[in-house]
Amino acid sequence: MHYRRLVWLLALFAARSAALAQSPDCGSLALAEQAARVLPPSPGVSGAARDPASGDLLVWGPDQNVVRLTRGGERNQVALPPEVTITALVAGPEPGGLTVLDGMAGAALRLDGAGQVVGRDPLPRFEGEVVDAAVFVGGRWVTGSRDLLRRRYVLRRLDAEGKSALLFATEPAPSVSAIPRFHLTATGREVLMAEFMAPFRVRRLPLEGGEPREYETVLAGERQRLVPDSALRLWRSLAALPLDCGTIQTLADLSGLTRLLVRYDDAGHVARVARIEAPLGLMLSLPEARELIGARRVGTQASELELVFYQWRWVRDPNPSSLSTEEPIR
Amino acid sequence: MKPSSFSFCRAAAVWLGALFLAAPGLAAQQALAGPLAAQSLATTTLQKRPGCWGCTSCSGFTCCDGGYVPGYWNCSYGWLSGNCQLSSPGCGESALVPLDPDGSAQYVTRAPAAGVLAAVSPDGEAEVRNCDGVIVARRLSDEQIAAIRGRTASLTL
Repeated sequence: MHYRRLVWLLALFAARSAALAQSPDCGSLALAEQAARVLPPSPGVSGAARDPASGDLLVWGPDQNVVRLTRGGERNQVALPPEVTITALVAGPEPGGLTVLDGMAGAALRLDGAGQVVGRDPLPRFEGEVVDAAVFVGGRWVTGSRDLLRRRYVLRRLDAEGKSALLFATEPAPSVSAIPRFHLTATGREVLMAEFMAPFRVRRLPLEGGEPREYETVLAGERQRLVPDSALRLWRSLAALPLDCGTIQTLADLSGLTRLLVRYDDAGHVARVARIEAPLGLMLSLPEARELIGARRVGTQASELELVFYQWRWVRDPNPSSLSTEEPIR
Repeated sequence: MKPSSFSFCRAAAVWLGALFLAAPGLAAQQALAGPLAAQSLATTTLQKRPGCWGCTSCSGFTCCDGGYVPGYWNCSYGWLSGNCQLSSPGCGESALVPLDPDGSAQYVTRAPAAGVLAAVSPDGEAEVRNCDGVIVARRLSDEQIAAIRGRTASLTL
């Protein structure tokens, strides 16, 4: 009798373990603001990166100025030479220095702390391709380009000695202007791709090649009512950011203040969608520190953006729901 | 803002002017962005150029005012009509609207020039939109800023 009960308990335990493995959600994500810092007036912000050596935050805009925000609260501006165009930027390899991938010049440029070019590594060129975005991952650059000849978007890993590998290519678009574009984010040995426009697809690509893992489409099924089809053309996605459990993506309405924060679980399923009425976007994730950095517009003058530093934690939700809003948008 | 973008527009205007003088039968309207964009498809070296994204008055004429949005042509200029058209092609229907990290169009940050051809929304003067409905300029009151900070101080999802 006792033996049967033990077998039954073991079976129950195995079934529960299997169910947990199939739903790898970690609970609800709670973001708490730790600090906020207003950015200096600029023509906009194009990207941000963390200097792992110093902990400084590097923020740059379309005017090619880089602002270095130190942990101590200092703000130093580095003006790059006018001929440099930042497609992507990382700190190093020299202390205080920067490496810029300049897609227009077709080179990775090493700069000193004052922003002067001290080294130049040419990138392999591909006929008809325009480098659109890049990430530095696993010690190598991965570039996202619009292939104007074949009307497709391609992702390439750039290896040493001018070698490269094609990681991903979209199907040919009907026209050059219809070539989809993607935000790229480095995460461990993978690259996250988030499509600029609807349906805002997110994919995870292994750096060493292999099939991309496509996430569940956010505006599908009952979630379609969140944004009417007629309004979709004015919605954009920001970059998909890695969490220590899953991924988070901001969808923004260019015609209003509405933002959708979409959280995916580790399996790529939509775990939760939250709607906020505030000009806030999430731009950088530091999973090891459980820190998310967002930007929100807070100025009485048009140009004022503020960085918001969030700490995250996971909380168990007794009544989990995939939507934190029931109201359709417009 | 890069000075090269403005000089690019001026140089293109001079080039079109010379072409017009040399060829009197030229079509009545010449779009600045059109021929350059067409060239860019043929040779990718011409694809990335300082773009222009707003219109302003230059010595009594309307002209494209320079911003710096690599690879994008967001305004076009009718040479004879002297009209500057904001945001081509399609006024942002493609993914060519540059974004700020708060999810707004970057025009909001560069409001003074981009708002020139925009319409004021009927519900107040706080938001300025372009022809597509994209907010290109916004001024927030202190109360709005406090509300935004309050709504985004802690989030659960």
